[in-house]
Amino acid sequence: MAEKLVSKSFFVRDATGLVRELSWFDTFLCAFGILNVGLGLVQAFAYAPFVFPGGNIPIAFIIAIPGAFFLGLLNALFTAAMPRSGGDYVWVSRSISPIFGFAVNFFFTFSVIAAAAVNIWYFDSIFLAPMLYSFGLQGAASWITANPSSTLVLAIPALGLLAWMFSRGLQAVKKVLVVLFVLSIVGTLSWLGIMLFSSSGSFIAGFNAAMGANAYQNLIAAAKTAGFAPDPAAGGANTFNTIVYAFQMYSGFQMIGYFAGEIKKVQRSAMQAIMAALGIGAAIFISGAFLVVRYFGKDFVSAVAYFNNTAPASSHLPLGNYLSSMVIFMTGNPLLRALISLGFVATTLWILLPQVLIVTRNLFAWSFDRLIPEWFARVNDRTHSPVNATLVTAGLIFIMLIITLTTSFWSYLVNLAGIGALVTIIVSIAAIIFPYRRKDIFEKAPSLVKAKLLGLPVLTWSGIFTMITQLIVVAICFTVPAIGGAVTWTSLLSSLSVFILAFPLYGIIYAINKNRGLDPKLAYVELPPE
Amino acid sequence: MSGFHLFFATDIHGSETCFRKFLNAGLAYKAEVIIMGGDMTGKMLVPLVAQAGGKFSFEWLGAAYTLEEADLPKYEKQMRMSGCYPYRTTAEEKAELETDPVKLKRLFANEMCKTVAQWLDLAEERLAKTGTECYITPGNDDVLEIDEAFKSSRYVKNPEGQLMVVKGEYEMIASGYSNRTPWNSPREMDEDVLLVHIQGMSQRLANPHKAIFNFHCPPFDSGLDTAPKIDKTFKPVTGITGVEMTAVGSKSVAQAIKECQPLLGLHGHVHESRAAIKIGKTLCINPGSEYSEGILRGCLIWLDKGKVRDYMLTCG
Repeated sequence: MAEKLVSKSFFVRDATGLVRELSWFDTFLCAFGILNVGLGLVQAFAYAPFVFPGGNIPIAFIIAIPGAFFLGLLNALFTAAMPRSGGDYVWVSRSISPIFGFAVNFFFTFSVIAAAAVNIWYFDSIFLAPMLYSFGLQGAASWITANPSSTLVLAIPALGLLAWMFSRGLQAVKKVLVVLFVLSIVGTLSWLGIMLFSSSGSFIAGFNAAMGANAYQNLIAAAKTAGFAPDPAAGGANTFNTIVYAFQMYSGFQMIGYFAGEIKKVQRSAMQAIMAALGIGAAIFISGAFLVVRYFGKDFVSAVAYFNNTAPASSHLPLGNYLSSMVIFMTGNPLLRALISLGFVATTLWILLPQVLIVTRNLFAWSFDRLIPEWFARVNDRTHSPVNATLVTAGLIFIMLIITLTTSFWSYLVNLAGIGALVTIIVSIAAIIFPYRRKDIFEKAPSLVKAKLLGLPVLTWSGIFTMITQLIVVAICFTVPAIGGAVTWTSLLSSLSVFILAFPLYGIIYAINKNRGLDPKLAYVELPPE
Repeated sequence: MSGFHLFFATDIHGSETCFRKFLNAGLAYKAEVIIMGGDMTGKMLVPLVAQAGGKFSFEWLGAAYTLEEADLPKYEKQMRMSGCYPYRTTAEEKAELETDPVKLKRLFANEMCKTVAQWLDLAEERLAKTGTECYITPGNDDVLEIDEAFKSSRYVKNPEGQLMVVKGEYEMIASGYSNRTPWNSPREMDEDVLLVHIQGMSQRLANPHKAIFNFHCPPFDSGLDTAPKIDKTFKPVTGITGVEMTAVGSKSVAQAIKECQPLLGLHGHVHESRAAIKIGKTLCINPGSEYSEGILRGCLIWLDKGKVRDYMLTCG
């Protein structure tokens, strides 16, 4: 084994933990697992054509690539500098301060819980009905579409099932994930395949056959009559603004770089993995977005999005105003319908499981750091699964779902994308100052990390460009009321409250821990290396 | 304050930065006992190859250097601080080392023994006057040859295979041996042999419930032992869920902890599995390792009246 790792520049002996670099195929597999093309396209086309009317979504996906590239570069370089650290929580803690690290992680965890709640809502209200319809259960599909409260009713057994699955251990979860992945890929490829190999005319014919003569044209006209009137002069600006949604679709690709070995050379794999994920993701999303526009027609998807965001019932679409609901018009083949609709359901669950995993892992990490009681990190003696953390996570998701469905809380949040961008700005500041604040770690980093451009470390440049990109996102999110409501002091403070709340919370926990025994500040005391 | 503070760190893999931080931890954390849990020796050796005109060529952190001899100490220090062994050599010897694994192995052992001896001297120089108790167990990655250096140390204690009493109050049994790994490292045992080794120590405990189990290898499937799964070519196994992780700890260690229910389990071995968990009544800790970044991950534990009054994972 040692021979395989020997380089001309150093010798390595047999020792535990030394592993080889990931291949391109391995990277591709990891990247592919993170992408959720079907769901991503459905989400983007459900909102972007309404929020930014006339904007060109495929072009927006292209414009967003440089911004995503710098965020990826930042993640890859931080990972190469601190491969065992495990993400922005530690990066921010070390570059700025532990309290900011906690605040960033606290907000991130909240975002994941909120996103999981939205996924359950999507699962119940958007994807389940088309699947039941495709399986011949039209009555059940109609009941779900007609009763928004069905989401809460269905969420209880869904979350219960989720908690039970996690209580069986990670191996059980993994098996379910593999099945969901296969169903998701088959469904997504079938969906994209129909769009690729069929004409727009065939969709229009299928739609009109099911909904009545000229129904396709009438729907577009109805939207215009109802007030949907994109300003042709604003098309360019709206295309640019749509990058907010493109960033949301791209997000996640950078996370696969967290795995890296201990030999500096191997840490190149972090860069390769992240950039491959971005490249693959961008190519698939751009192609998919072009296909959607070509197949359904830009005016049609805009009209459907308009009704979705203004008066959903006015479209008279039987299964809701989402691209996934169009499957019944795309093909008459019952098997294809079933595969596609089942694929969308699987995709939603495929995302939900890792989200639960992320929250439970963060609860674990906080428990290890004594930020929350160690009760959260207890594992079941038999299955070695984190039962307490899983139950808490399921409970938090359910509470967030109730809040989402019964209050106007989300309108106060302005848009999590905007606040998420604000938090990413903190991470970018950490990247900008890291080479200067933590010279001890920076000097030991591989040359890849220490490389300079115009006198500044590339890590600093990546932080600067990421900050600029995220500032643009913040500006868009906070100046376009359609994204999350009007920006007022109340809404702004509500949005920032989750992030701000972390600071007093940290202070209270600090005081409790100090009172109990060891002074928490010792956890990050910089030991002298001499 | 009653009781005392114990500081535990592990897996520094030759990083002199981390070792010096470890020695300073007693003062910084007000710890009266400091314990290193194993794997103190490095994994890499950097050849500095003599060139014509008294210069030396080498590669370091991805960059190539050709420098005068006088400029070498700065880089040699950097290498030692990062966990590598700098070795001045000739092109002929380097070529020989590339093709002769036995010679390479011997060279590694020499460099490791030399460094460990220097470190133990440094420990005595720094700690003898403070009265801090210092225990260092070699881990599965440490060659057997370094044990000689411990035998000649008057200050640092190597508790491998022994029962020692910490601060005159807490019995501690220790072992740096692990169950079998794919790397065939120097201190490995089959599970059944390891169990006998552990039981040989645990049966001598007067009060197991108040004991410290200082075992380099964490208990199997405990959350302290989650590492990337690797294939036969030592490549991480990936799939649609990313890099696959698996439990790599010792079933013998798990059995011993479940049976004896000691006060504390101190572990390492799996760098990426930083965690603190309870197995029955036993608090088991793996502080993880970030030696390659010069960060000393550890755990500060407050022991008082036979109990763990408080603990905290540290990052110094």
